[in-house]
Formats: sequence, C-alpha cells, structure tokens
Amino acid sequence: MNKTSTMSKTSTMSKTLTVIVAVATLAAGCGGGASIDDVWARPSPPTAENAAFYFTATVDEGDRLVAAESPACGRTELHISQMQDGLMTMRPADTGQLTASDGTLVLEPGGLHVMCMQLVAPLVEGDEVDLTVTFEQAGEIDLTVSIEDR
Amino acid sequence: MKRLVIVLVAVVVVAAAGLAVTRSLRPHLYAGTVLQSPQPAPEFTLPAHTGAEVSPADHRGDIVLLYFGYTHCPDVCPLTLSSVAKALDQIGDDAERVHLMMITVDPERDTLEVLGDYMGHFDESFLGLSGDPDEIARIAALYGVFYRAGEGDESTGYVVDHTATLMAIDPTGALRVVYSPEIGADALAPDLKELLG
Repeated sequence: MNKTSTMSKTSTMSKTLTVIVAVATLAAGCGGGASIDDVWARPSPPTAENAAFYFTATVDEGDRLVAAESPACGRTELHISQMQDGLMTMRPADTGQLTASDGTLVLEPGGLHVMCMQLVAPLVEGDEVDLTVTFEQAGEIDLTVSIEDR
Repeated sequence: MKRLVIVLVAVVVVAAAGLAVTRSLRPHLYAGTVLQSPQPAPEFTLPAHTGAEVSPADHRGDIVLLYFGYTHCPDVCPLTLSSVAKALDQIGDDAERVHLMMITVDPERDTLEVLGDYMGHFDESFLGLSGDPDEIARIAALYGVFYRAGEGDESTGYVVDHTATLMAIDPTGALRVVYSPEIGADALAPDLKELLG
C-alpha cells in the first residue's frame, strides 16, 4: 500500500517536473523573458518637436533592443547622448550600445533613450502614452510611459 | 552619580558646539569645477525672448547661469534646465537673484518665440537668447563653447553637438564655476546659496 502510494507520488512529481520543463522549453523557444520598469518621460515644452523616453529593461543576457514605436511620436529612433571630445553629442545608438550584455539595459537622461520625434501633442505631466519596444529575443513588449517631472 | 550626569551632559554639549563651529568654518565644497583664477565673464548683449536686449552685466550682485543649448535637444538640455529649475525651488526667495540665460546654438530653428515657449516650460524666469548666427558664434568662442550642426534640414531634423556645460557668473561678474550638464538640483542648490553669500 505504502509502496503503491510512493510510486504514485513519484509519478505525479515526475509529471509535474515534465510539465515545468516543457513550459520552460516552450518559453525559451518563444524567446527570452523580459521585465521592463520605470518607463517615463519628461513633460515637453509646448512647442517642442522632440522628446525622450526612458526605461530599465531586465532581459536575457545578450538580448538587444531593436525598435521602439509610439503613437505619440511621428517617428522614433534609439539614440544615445554622450560626451565626445568635450561636446555633448546625440547619435543613433549602435548594436553594442543596445545590447544587454549583462541582462540589463538602462535608458536614462544623458545616455540611451528612445528619441521621440515629431511629437503629436505635448507630453503633459500626469498623462500616459503607449510605447511598444521590440527586443531581438523577447519580442514586442507593450509599455505605458508615465509623464513625470523628475 | 548626579555629578557624573552633569559632566556627561556638559561633554556632549561642548562636543556638539565644537562640531557646529567646525562645520561652519569648513570651506564650501562646490559641486562644480571652480575656476582657480576667475576672470571677468566676457560681455555680450543679445535679444531675449522677452523682447529685451539682455547682458550678464544687467545682473551684477546676482548670479547669472549661462548655458548654450537648443530646443530640439530632447535629452540633455531638459535634464540640465530641469535641474536648475528644481534648484531654484530649493533656495526659496534667493531664486530671485539667480538668472538663467540659454543662448541657442541653433538660431536657424530657435526663434525668440520658440525659445520663449521652451524656456517658460522649465521656469518663468529663464531667458532664451538668440540673434545673428555670427554673433552667437563669436560669443560662444569667448566662453570656450563649441558647437556644430549635424546633417539634415528642417524637414528631416538634425542634431547640434555642443559644449553643454552650465557656467555660473558670480555677483562680481566673474566666471566662477562650471558644471557638468548632469549636475542635479540637490548638488547645485547649495552652490548657488554659497555664491550669493
């Protein structure tokens, strides 16, 4: 009786384990996991044509941000601000700069950001706008950008 | 026992007073880079978005914060201007004695009207200055500021690389402290207080 019960338990555990492995495999096959936090942008001046969106992404190591789109912007690009020869420059970010080699990609003021061009309407404090980002492995992720005066 | 308590209290009071005196005597440590031989800030006069012709000399006795930027700059310029606005909030009434002037490095697109909307968004007291491109280039050179427009036109948009330091002209009219564009409000506010004396 005891033996049967033990076998039954073992069998159930084994099935459970199989399901977990299967789900994990499926998830891996569909692309890596991703969690994106702290999605925000500054309120924009009334006549500003450009704005910047920021967030912190935790993704699989080596995953890469490839695109961003928002209905709030006529056009978006992935840019990086950096000091070069004493000048503050802003350029489209390159592949290496968009790759989360350690699994974290931080978009923040004075660094990487989603450059939102041809703003459809000024970004107003307290409002929210939609943003969809695409990672090479994690795929498309829908986000909500909080407009905050930080 | 009672005597011991009195002695202990006295020790604590003396130590606290000593600490307070030491702190008040300690020279202020600036968050920016202090120019060791401050020179008079180069003079200039440019039209501001308010319609007035303005010059740093208008504000002797106060602080002028001078910045070269442009309104199509979505990341670094708002970062710096927003920090200055928050630092002014922190210093209360003294903020009336701090005058921020942003000279555009993109006079083609930044008309005085555009500058007015942009500057007012950060703080009503901020001044946006524009003018003849050659005159702006001359003034920038006097302050060791360099800028260059990237490829593109008004339809495609373009960026302008620029020296993005924030410069503080002290109440005597000397160029005193230079800040990184990423200076935060909490670091800037105590410096402004100190410069005002």
